[in-house]
Amino acid sequence: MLHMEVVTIPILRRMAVCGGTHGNEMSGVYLVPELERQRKEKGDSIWPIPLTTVLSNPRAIKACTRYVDKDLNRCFTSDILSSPITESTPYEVRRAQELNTLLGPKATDDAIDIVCDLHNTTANMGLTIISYSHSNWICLHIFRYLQTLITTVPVRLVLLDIPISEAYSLESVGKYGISLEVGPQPQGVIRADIFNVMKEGVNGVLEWVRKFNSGQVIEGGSIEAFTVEKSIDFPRDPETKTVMVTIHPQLQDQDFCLLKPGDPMFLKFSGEVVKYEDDEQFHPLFINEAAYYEKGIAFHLAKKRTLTIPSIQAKKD
Amino acid sequence: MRRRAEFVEHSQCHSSIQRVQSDLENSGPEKGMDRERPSHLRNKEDMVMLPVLSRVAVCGGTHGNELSGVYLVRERLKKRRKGEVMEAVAIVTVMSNPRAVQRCVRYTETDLNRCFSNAMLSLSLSEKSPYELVLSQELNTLLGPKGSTEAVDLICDLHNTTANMGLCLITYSDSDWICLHICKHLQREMATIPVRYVHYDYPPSEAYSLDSVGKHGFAMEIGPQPHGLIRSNVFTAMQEAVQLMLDWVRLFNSGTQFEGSSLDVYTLVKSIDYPRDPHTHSITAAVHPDLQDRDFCLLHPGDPMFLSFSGETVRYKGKEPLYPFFINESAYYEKGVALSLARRRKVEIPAIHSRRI
Repeated sequence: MLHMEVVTIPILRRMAVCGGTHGNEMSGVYLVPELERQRKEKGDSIWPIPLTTVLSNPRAIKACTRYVDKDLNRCFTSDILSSPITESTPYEVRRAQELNTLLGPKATDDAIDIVCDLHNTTANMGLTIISYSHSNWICLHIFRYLQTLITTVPVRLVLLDIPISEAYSLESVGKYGISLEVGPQPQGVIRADIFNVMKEGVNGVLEWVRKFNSGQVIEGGSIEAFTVEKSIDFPRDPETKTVMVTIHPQLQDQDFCLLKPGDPMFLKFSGEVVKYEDDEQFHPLFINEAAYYEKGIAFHLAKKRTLTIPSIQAKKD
Repeated sequence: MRRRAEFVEHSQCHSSIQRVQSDLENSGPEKGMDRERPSHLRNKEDMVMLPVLSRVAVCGGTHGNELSGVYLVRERLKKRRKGEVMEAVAIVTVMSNPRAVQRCVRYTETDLNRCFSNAMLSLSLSEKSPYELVLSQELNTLLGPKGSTEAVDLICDLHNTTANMGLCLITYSDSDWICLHICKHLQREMATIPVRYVHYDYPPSEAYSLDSVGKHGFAMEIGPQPHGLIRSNVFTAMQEAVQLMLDWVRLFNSGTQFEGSSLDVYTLVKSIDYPRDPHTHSITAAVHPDLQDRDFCLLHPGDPMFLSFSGETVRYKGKEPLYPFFINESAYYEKGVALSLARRRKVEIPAIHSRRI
């Protein structure tokens, strides 16, 4: 292997694990109290750095819904975080500003180092790490470590190429933010196998932080990342806007596989097949996520890229 | 790619069934799981004549986020408007809870499918009455009145569940020959999905769901499917099952004789809640991976039932092996049900033939 320069990055000092950002995504809703139970039983020293746990959207958790007024995980753009609060401000906007005070402020030196936000999806996505491109190299190394550590489900990386001020999700508040998205799991349901993957994932992140902070060189190499290019909606009735099709059985559950021109996409209730007509090949993800019907998304389409990440080492003060 | 629990009969399940059968062989007829109840017939060859089913209701969206039924009803109503459908039997197609469907929620104020007991149907309504209670009385006027001669002959109410239950016909009687024969017909004709008959032993006055309004009725429950989305294979199965049911009704009404047979009936015994924190009432465990998705596989005393979030196994402490179903249905968390348990027995069904009144 070619000798690569080791990039030094300041040691990581504080971390947050957030669950219930969507109140009906149950792995996070139950893992957060379980982490607190571990803290009570064994003390803070079980973790490599001070850990803050957060139930992000308590009202939505209580009602077991995704959100109460507005999707909390779209409220973290710089604009929304700095908008004035009035009587008519939606609950989730207020909550986003509270979380920004607690874990941020976003894009400042005071922001917590790592924010790990826990999500579930009805799509067959195994363990998917979602991060913003600006949070190199820490998040990419965490992904690489989780991919070697976790063997029960496929582990993949989705990178959002969005500038930090426009980054809209909770993890963008931290200096290094990642979402752990585990599926498939129905909303409002807790499955033991999915919970265990989430637990393994969070423990893996903590183990990686321990390794990094110990000062050892973390070897670089190449990784694969998926970047979302566009989204496809369900064909809808022009008058009522109701969905007129189902995801085709050959596409259902095939997240991250290749969708080629001519491949079946949707099945009309009449039995007619709607095919993918575009020239380019893409990798579909979030196929048939229940929460995305109202956002006009049947699935996202992504390109796969290979990235080279450098070796890194913690810089002690 | 993780294998989904799609209508899968687990291999562990089969060995459980074999274990039960050998138990039966070794013990006398009084013991074992398949207790025989007294038959309603003197002998199996008796033919039963039943009135034709002149009016059938197909209902969807009783829970607004169980989408197979919502879309099936929508498609049927669309075809009606376009004049494509020609029916030999009068079929009423109903979107039961339009407000819940529009919001894609199970219900808006109270669960509609718990509002059809005689007590609820005769409650006097006020401005403060929950939406679904008003709705249940409207539906009772449309399809009932429950218990009267004007009620529709058959109600098929379409549902989805997050549990791995395949297709179940759920009803209150284990001697309704119409429902049992329809189930048998579906079992013979449907190749892609297991079909079972589930019985809740409630008297008609206490029967609380929409299907109890008709002279005959059942909920047609298909899973697994998450709420709020539609899966193609589940929709196709429901479409096929509804068509087969309507075909059977036409055959029955035209005078076809259906031979006697026997059928496994699963009768609800009890339900089990999640372990909960005594102070917060929050659940402290999930259904154990060895039980998850194993609906209708026999659960023995000592078998794992729950796995706590801290990693401990909680085992089934009942004395009797029973058949679990509705394992991990998301809508039942708030009802305090992690799974339901049933006894299974074989029911003899007589030959039937329609008679015109």
